[in-house]
Amino acid sequence: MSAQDRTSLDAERADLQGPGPEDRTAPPEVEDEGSWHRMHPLSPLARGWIAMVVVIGAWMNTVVNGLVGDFTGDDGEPDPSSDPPAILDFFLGLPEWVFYGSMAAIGAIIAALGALYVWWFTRYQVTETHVRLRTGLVFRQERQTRLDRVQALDIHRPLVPRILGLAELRFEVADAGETSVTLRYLKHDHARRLRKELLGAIGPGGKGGARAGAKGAVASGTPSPGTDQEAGSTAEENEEELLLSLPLRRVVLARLLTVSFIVLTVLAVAAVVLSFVFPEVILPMLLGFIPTVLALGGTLLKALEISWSFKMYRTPEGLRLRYGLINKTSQTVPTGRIQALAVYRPLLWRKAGWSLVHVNVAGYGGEAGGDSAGNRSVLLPVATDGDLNVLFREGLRIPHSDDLTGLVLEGLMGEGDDASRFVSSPERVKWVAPIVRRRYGYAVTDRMLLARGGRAYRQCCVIPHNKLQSIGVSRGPVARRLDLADVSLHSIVGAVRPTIYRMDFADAQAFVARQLERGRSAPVVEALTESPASPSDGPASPAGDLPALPWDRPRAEHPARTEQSLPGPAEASHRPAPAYGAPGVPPGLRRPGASS
Amino acid sequence: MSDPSDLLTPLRPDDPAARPDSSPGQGQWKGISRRYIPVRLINEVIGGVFMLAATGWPVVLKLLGPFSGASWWWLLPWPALVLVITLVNIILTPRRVRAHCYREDPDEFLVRKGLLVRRLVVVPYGRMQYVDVNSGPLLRAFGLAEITLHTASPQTDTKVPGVTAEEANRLREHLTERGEDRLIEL
Repeated sequence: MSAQDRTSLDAERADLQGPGPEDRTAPPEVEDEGSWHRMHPLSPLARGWIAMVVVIGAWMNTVVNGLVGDFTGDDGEPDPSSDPPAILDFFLGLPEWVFYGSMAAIGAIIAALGALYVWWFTRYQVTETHVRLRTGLVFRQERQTRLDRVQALDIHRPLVPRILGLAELRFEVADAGETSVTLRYLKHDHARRLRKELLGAIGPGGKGGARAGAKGAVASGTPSPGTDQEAGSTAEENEEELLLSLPLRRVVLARLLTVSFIVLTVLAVAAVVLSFVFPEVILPMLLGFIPTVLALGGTLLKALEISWSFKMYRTPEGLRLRYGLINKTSQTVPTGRIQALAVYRPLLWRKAGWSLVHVNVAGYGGEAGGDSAGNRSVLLPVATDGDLNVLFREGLRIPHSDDLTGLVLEGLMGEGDDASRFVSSPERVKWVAPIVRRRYGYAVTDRMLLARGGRAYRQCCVIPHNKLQSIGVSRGPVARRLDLADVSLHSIVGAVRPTIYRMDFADAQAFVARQLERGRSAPVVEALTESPASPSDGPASPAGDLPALPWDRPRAEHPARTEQSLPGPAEASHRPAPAYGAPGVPPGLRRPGASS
Repeated sequence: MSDPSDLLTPLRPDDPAARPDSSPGQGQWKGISRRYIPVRLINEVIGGVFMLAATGWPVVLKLLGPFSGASWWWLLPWPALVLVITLVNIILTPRRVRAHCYREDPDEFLVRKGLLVRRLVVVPYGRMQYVDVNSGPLLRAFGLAEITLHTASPQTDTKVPGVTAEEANRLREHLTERGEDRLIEL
């Protein structure tokens, strides 16, 4: 760490201590409110390093070429056939390398000025209620996010910023597929301190300022390459309790046991064999393999990226995941913000008993396996059954998670009805889905709803009753003919889309009716008692007498709604909603700089 | 506009929304306005004309000369297909519009639609995030509006096109009020 860097850090810290001179830029309508801060001075370098490398490389290239050209006597006269304006004659008279070199230098200076401009006019502000990011001078943009709407706070450290000791802090809110505010880049420790402050305010840990006590210091974590450990960061690690850590052997083996790796191996073997048999086709064949190899290799690398040195911690604010091979990421899923889970078990992992867990958390958006958003939906890349149990206990805050784990495993491996807590599709489904038929099914516990499916790539989705947004029932012509229906359980936007396929129609109707009933009472059921899962939705009554549907009940009272002021400790995130725009000031939030 | 209930396709027993006779105090299925049929027809015709232009230009070029070498077998099937699809859409439009209906229950908002694939969406009011009321120029010309109830899930498809402007306003107020009463945090 250079002395210069140190001073800039000090300057930044001084800046954090209170309203600085930049305060004049704050608009008058903002009353309370902390000062505006700039990003770390090195962030332009971290953001634009590719451009800089290109410019410097080009410059070096021309310079070296020019020097070599000078020595060899080929000094690259300008093309005499072109007729440049007279002013340019002087420049064009120069040796080529000086000309291009200076052009590149000018370009670099302009780029640097541009980066400086962007940096200078990018400011952020963290107040007790909002985080605001303001960019640009000519085209001014101000984004703001209410802190009580923030669903997750992630720290992301790509390679170059990591080398520079920087990190980016992402604020995720519901309702936006993309990250709503990204502070890019802050000093790593500063980002962690800020995150801790804000999570304390957002998550249930911040309720009443209760920090849930400093857990037994399992500071086992992640030695950060950012080198300078400060009081704030060690205190943070003291509050982290290691829950899971994926052994490297399992991570690598799991990658070896994937379709993409096997295809890659087969291709490699085929290439070797073919090159012995037909040596003359080797070149075109290799060329033909390139796209496939690139695509598969990319998939592998991405999967490794999310499972490498994967660790899950419990913090007062929620679950924290740390992982990364090249780009280190630290993700925090606040307690009670898991909207739905999907547990997958691919064919090749079945023997080892591993599964992959995807999750819907508001703000992450995206589809599974898509861009970085898809990556972030992975909650556990390679989990054993025991890991699943830990995840359910900690992530869903279920006291007796063994039941749920057992049920999920049944959902992954079970088939048909026999002695199962799952209600599966009727036998006539074999006309439309002969292979998967016995895998379709659903189960209901008093807090969760499970839907299973898939034969080779088995899956079991879990969605808490109180996270269900709406229910869809659809019937195509074949389904009507066979008296079937698909019931989709609408979760928030994300990788997990639980659907119960091909249920008996009467069964589906009864299910929907009961589910709506449960949705009303779910917040109360959420008390910390979980009785063993009961098949409360037994196979439906004979189709002759349809069970009463929700629209046929007399108007229901809403005890659940009115008694909502008694959330269990685990459900503190369900604080009575500040409906539409009431500014909920999270308690216990201090100024970001006031920590330590 | 007459009693909206006479617009409804009677619910067949195999409809996802089928139910025993409704008891008093429960909501009634309400169809969308009959005036939406011409709107939808105009839309279908406009879409058909565009698709016809997109697929039919080689035919014109053949008639004018430049493509005279091309076989009719290569040129004709595409515009013909577009014509058939548009025609089917036009024929089915009145039935589709009549099949689209909604219902306000004490605790849920329900929308059903579809002829071939029949769909029902049930939204508890507490899950509602916001209500959208849109009306494009064509809808406005017919005094209609389109109302959508949004939850946090993109799968919740509760678009109700073609309700009258007054009904849209009433629905918006009503839904917002009920949603605020029962809002459930994410």
